[in-house]
Amino acid sequence: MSHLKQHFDRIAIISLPARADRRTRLMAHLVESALAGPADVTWVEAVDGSAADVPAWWEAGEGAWGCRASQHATIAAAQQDGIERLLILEDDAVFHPRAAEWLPQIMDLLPADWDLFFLGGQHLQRPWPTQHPRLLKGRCITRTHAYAVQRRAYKVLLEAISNDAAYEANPGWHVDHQLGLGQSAGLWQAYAPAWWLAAQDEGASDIACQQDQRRWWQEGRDYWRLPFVMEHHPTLHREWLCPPTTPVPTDPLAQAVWLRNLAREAWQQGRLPTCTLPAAQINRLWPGGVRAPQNLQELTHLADYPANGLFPHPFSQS
Amino acid sequence: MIPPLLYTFVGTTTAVKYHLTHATTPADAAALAASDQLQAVSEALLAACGDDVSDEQFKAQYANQVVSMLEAVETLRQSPAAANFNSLLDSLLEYFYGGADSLMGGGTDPVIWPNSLGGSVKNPKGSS
Repeated sequence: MSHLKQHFDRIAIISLPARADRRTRLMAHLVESALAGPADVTWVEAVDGSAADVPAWWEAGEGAWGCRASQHATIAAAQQDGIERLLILEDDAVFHPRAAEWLPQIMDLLPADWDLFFLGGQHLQRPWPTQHPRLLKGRCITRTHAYAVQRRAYKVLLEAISNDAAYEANPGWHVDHQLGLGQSAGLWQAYAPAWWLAAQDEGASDIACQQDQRRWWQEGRDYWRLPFVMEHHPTLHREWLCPPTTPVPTDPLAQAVWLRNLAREAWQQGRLPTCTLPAAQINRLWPGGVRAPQNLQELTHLADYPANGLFPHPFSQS
Repeated sequence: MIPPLLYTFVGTTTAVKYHLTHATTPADAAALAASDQLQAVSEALLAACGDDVSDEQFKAQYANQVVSMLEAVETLRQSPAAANFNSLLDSLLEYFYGGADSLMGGGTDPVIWPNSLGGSVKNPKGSS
């Protein structure tokens, strides 16, 4: 049995009919990661907000309307079918390379009172610690690209998602803000790993209608520890590196800020920063310093943070 | 133009000094020296805040302190008591680089992340 099916009774993946490209990518990714096979997943046709009758009071955009309707329909179907543990993925989800290894460990840590479990998300309020440092209790986790719901939470969740008055009172409010609010209000208990197992992949967002980079929203500020990678070796893989998108400034102070911004972006993408600034100058201006991996294996190990112990973390294995 | 985060940086160097003197063994001379170095950075920046100092002069003075600040933080990271104030050291870096960003005309919030709408998280309650 695949790793996800060991823990969830239904793996529902929401996807717009027109996004066959995303379905192909995600299915290949799930198979390659040993997380799920084609027979394990239930495809859910997303509601296309651009073709929906969006009420005038909804101010968050057609895509967000479709997202809300799709999430509601997915949970309602699970409720009707008596599904005990529902995992909802959106078709732009991408999993951490160690997800198959870490997921069973984290599931074992989940207390009995869990209603929602976010494999990926964004903490809008600092989460509470639990008895185990690898597991956090959410105070306001948002995003809907990878989260699980227990059956007992369906009813209250559906009520919250379909509460028009809440959206009207908060113009621009998305469905995931309702999810976060329910945590803050104690309507449901949400948990999350201390290191996200799922991100939103780069590409054109069907909700925000813009081109996005890969986003992990990892908790913490350890991007200060990320070293810059000097690209000396021709086999270094771009998958692990985040190059700059703007030219190197000439002013040293601007260079310091530029390096910080680049490292933060790399952190958001789950990669390592790289640039052509001389190593000596980076070392002068950046606390994470410089590394020069000589082959793909060394680079892959360096990018395998936090497992590689690059900085102190509950998921460090060194 | 004095970035407000400079004052936050100065206050945090004092907090680091406090933690160091209350949470480490007195023999950790290297860490104490690094803390003094941080306070010297603070004083140098405050001294450069005079009305008769141009923006360009202040930026140059700020840039001159980067290496000294990073050296001190690195030394403190190596301290046996670093686990007690690692978060403070991250804050120091946030404030120092955030101040630099502000001087260069950028944002002043060191920890803004984009939210689901593609904008910025302006308050922790999730409003967008």
